[in-house]
Amino acid sequence: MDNQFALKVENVSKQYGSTTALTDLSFEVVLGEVHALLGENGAGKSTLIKILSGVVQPDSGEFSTAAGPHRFRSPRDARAVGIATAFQELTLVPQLTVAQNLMLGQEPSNGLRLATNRALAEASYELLAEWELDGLDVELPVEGLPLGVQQQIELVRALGQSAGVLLLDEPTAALGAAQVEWLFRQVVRVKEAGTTVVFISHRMQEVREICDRVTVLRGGTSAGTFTAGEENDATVLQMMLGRDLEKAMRRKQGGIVGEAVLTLDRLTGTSGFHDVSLSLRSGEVVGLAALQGHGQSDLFMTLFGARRAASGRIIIAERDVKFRSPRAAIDSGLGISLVPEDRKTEGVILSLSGARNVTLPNIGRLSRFGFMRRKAERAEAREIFESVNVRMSAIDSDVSLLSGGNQQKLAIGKWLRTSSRCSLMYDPNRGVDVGTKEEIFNLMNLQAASGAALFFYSTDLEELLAVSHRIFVMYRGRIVAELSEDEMTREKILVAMLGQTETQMEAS
Amino acid sequence: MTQIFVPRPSVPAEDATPKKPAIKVFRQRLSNTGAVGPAVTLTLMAVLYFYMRPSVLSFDGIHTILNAGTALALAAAGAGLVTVVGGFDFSVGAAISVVNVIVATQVGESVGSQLVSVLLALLVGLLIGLVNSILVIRFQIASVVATLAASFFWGGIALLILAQPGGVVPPSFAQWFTGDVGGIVPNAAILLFVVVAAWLVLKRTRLGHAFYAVGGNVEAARLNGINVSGTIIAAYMIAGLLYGLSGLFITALTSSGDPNIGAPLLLPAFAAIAIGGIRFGGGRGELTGAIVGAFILYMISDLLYAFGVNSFYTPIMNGIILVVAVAITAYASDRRWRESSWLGRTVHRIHPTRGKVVQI
Amino acid sequence: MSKASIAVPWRRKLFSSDASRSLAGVFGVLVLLIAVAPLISSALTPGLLTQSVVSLGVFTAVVAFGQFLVILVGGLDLSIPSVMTLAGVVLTSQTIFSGGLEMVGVLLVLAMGAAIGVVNGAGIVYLRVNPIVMTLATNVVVGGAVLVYTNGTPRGTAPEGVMNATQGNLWGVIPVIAIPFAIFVSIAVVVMRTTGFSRRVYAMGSNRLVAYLSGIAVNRLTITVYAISGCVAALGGILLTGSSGMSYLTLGDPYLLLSLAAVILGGVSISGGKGSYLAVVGGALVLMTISIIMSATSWPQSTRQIVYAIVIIAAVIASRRSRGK
Repeated sequence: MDNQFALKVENVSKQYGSTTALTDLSFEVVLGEVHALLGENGAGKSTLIKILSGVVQPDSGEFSTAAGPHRFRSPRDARAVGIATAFQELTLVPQLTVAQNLMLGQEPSNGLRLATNRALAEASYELLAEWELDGLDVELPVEGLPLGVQQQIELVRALGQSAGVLLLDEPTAALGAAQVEWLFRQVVRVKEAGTTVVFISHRMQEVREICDRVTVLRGGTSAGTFTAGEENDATVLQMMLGRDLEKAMRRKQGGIVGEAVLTLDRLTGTSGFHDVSLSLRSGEVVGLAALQGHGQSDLFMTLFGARRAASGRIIIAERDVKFRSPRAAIDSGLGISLVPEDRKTEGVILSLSGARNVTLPNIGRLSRFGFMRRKAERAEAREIFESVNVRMSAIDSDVSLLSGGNQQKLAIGKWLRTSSRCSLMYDPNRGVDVGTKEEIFNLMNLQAASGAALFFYSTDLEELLAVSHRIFVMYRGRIVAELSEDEMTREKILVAMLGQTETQMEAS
Repeated sequence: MTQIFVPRPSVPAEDATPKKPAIKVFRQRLSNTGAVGPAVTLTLMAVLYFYMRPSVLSFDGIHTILNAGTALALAAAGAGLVTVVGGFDFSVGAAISVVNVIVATQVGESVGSQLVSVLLALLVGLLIGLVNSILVIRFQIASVVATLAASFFWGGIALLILAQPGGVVPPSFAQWFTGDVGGIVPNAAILLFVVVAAWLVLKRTRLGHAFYAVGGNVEAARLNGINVSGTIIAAYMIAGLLYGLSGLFITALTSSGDPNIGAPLLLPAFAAIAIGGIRFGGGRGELTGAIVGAFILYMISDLLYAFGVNSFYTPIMNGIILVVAVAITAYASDRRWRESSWLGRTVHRIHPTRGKVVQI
Repeated sequence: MSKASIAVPWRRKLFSSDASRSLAGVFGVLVLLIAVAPLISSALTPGLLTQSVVSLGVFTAVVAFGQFLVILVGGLDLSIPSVMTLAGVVLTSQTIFSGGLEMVGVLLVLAMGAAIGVVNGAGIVYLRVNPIVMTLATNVVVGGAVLVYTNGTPRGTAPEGVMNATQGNLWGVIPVIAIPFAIFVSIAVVVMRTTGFSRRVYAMGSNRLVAYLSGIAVNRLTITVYAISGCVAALGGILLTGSSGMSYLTLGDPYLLLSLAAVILGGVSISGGKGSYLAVVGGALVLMTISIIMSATSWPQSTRQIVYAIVIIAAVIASRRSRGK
């Protein structure tokens, strides 16, 4: 009975168009255990959960439960078999009340198959009380409640299905400390009753507390499975983040670092980050390290004018500026540019050609009296393709046909002719092959050498160390460390990313 | 499928419902319906209206109002349901026209033929709704285009049945709808009451919840095991049923058939929906709100008429009210209205089948 | 990294993209219909039929340009009928715009259309009203304004200049209106192929977020697109009024469904992003051909309307299927 598995996937692969989500993944959950799935964004955790919960089918590979190989055709099948899921993207209907959401699909009914408000309310309160969630008014529409509470409701709904297998996808993403403790108590309870739990997270500390075993996913496949507590945090983080890059040689160039071109003074976003103060100097490559979801994304978007700042100042050339839109940021004297997080949905337009994509920001400049200057446009597109080293024969093909690395190079390339002197890049090397990474580094160095200020976020510590002149670390929305070239070491960065001090780290 | 994983027995808590003053609970539930705004507006409107036209404050006066507004109210309720699940039904007018001409040409003196006519009307309405939903679901045509084309189709059918206004409707038939019971309760009121009661019941069934789930968040609905296609088909068909009722009522009201009678109802129906607090895009609002909205519209146009304002101004007014109502509804009920950027919210809806993102 | 682009056999190039397939498909159907028409009625000789198709199809083709742009950016314009009617009604009633001042009248009407479009766009962008609701409301408000303005009965005749530009046949063969038609289509095609505006529109329609993050002013662009749609609808109303010589209250009514159907037949998906205006023109011509063929039958209005609706639905379904949707 021991070691009998509850769920097992073998050599499972899944592709979405040209993106590979899972490659030859094998993974097993033992009956009755709490198994954690760790991994960074894009590692494949969500896809795996979707397969386990019946939302998608794998392209290849076997999926088995304790009763044998299985094929789910829909989430309903999974539910019928006894698997309950709490999804990362909440499956709540915003306009319905807490009670209605809790009971969605399983409404209690009296003889007339009616669910009165009272019946729903009673059933909901019972459910909430059973799972120790008090103080909630079930008549309130869900959309008005804080995100953390919404997530708790989603969790209670899953818990309440009394399932044999519970899949929790990033259940703590929106939860505060007390709520996280609440969740852990419930997980312990269900475990004691015999339920098997699969717990996805990217927060290792939480996972350590209640999980029996841990599997780390990276790049769509498993990077290892171990018993909780066997490895220390730093090693686990490396498993999650480590790339194939060899030990980094210093790649940065000497270069002259000039004066500050962009200064932030206690900048606070509408969500995500607070009191960020830093300066970017021309000719300098500044790196930013942080674990997922600690405010870096909002910071970059706000710097680019795609989000509003709640308070604080952005100072360019000794003047306060407020960007109302990316256009404003691009047109500011500094020419800010952004290479966003998700190239497929934010960086390039997949259905357009490469030539059209790389000239997007410059349509105004490349046109005269409203008409595009074809020759100039063409010439510029070619120049950009050459600069980023994407083969010219692809210039008129849809960008969707290019590899991820090439797409990323184009996402970077489109800014090369915009006289941008401040370049923001959000994890530009994620999911990019080794050769392309080198090229992107070169591009970055070239830009810096020509006097631009670079600010880039990366989840790859080697990369940060190799290229940055300075490194900032963010934790929970604030800058918690600034490391100069002499100070920067992998350990220091890790420590700051985990929000700890060095002594705390040694003690763990 | 049989359960593979043995479920944990659950231990329900006793009487977990917290002691909350019933009045507070009631108020919250009331506010949730989104009908408070329209109801308040109705009351204010009614006060204004009766003040301006005190002669209406009599049994006859109320009777007249009810008779005049019920057809629109029923039409708006039907189109409103389709709106709740996230679609747009532009076949309202044509559906009513078809029902009208069918009844006007079929109905006779005998009770039997009258009953048959009523049944026929309802069946036709259901059919129209079914066809609409097939176009949207099976053929994946955007609901705007599908229902617009359908309105052409059914308009043609109406013309086929009755090319010119005509037909005979015996008073005995009309009385069923426009008459009253014992001089006290107008039949129209009973009809509306029945419809509202039916809706309140429907709302509490699984299907009722499914309407809102599909309209509010289709992905969530599907992930929760709701049959999205079935829900949408049901919505269109019930709407068709309501159009049938509306057509019957209009036939009784005008005592004749006219293949173009339904067309002018289209815009007011949507205006009534908007005033009634039903959100375009789906997921929020009460059918009763649409009914209330219809009467508010009637009162406004009647007031204008009483003041000698040219009836040509009515459509202008309807249009402006529509925009204002939608803007206010969006502003008042959506906290994140300010933050929500138009970027992601235009005509965008997730298509029910095949999970692809299609805009309706 | 050679500088020469790869030589692709012209045949493959011609049919390689969705757009050219739609184009070929639509015009193929058109040719087929014109060829088959004489079988239905001997009066429908290819020459005569083409003449009629062109002189009647121009109105749909013109207003469909506006609908095309609006759908490209992910919206919908339901106010086209009223704007057309307004244009016609104002044009015929203003007798002061005669002689040399006719151009002023035309420009005034075009400006009115554009202004209505701006109102549409502003409501959609700033009030966050759903495009369907906004343009529906505008349609009704403008319709009411027409009623008020004409007091229920439109008067007057179109200005002579406009009538001269739209009525009759050159040398007895080519409809005069074909000239403004050709000019309009040429300008529209040139605009959609060579201007920065069209680049931005296509970019925005394909991926609003990337367009926004690449510095495209999406709000302003949206309002501009609706303004153009209003202006072009007014143009359609002017042409229609000139061609028939007078205006009437329902002149714009058929053009809502017609413009939508033309756009869909032309291969533009309702979700926006891709499409060619030339194919939309083809779609408009196909619709008109079907309509004319049907009017040559002895069917009553009712049957024609029914068949027409069925054909449109079938065509919409077919065009979606052929694009693999």
